[in-house]
Amino acid sequence: MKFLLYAGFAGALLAGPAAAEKPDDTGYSAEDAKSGARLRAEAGVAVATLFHPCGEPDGLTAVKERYVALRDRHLSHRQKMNFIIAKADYDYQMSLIDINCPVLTDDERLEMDELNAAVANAAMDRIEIAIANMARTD
Amino acid sequence: MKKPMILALPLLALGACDGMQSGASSYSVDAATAGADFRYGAREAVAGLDPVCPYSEEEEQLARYEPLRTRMAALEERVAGTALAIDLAVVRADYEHYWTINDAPCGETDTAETEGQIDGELEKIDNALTRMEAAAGVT
Repeated sequence: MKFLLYAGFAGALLAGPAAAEKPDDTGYSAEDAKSGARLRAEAGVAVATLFHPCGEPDGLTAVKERYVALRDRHLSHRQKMNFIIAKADYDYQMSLIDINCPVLTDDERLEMDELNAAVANAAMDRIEIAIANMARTD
Repeated sequence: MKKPMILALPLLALGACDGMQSGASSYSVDAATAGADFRYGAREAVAGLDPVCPYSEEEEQLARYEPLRTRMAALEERVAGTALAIDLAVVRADYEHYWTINDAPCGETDTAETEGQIDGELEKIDNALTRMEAAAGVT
């Protein structure tokens, strides 16, 4: 009986707040930084295409929704941090430069949107692979 | 009452060991966002101090990088255990990843332009380290 009580106490310790949540809820180590390099590189490509300071055209709405869904879906903290870092780095770089946004015709805009959608979708395909690979090592 | 406490101690110790083994540390969204400035400088410094294509193979020229390497090492020591150490690890990992998927045909080393090229590199690294030191609160 005593053993059961002790076991229950130990279980309560292990199942406390830290165990109730994901164990890596706030952890992000140098090893995580290394394993997340590919994801960050691809997220950087997608972010630069979809969050351009010259505006986010309607033609990319669906592609952007795919990115947001990918970023916001149930991922571990360490996976999610790679998206956060990629976006923070892009925003910071953009804050340092002046950009002259080009004036495009409708045809040029359409062509640009198609190109950007292809680039972003390809990056997101690779992000899916990177996340799957990271999940295998979790 | 005493026995559960005694039992709890080894369990807590096990928990601490687990955290140390995984190298896990608290690194929040706010830290990642605030660290962008430090990472920006670190990208320049890491690439400059560990170039894929060095400008020179001569000891005298390579020695010119030493003061900046020493400064980088001191900075690394200073930020050890903080969120900025994670930012530095991110930058190093990104740099390594970039060069595993890209290739650069290196030019000729030790030409008539080398000294001037290294002057420019050292200035860039110096500025990058100054940015990192400011972010790390080094005065």
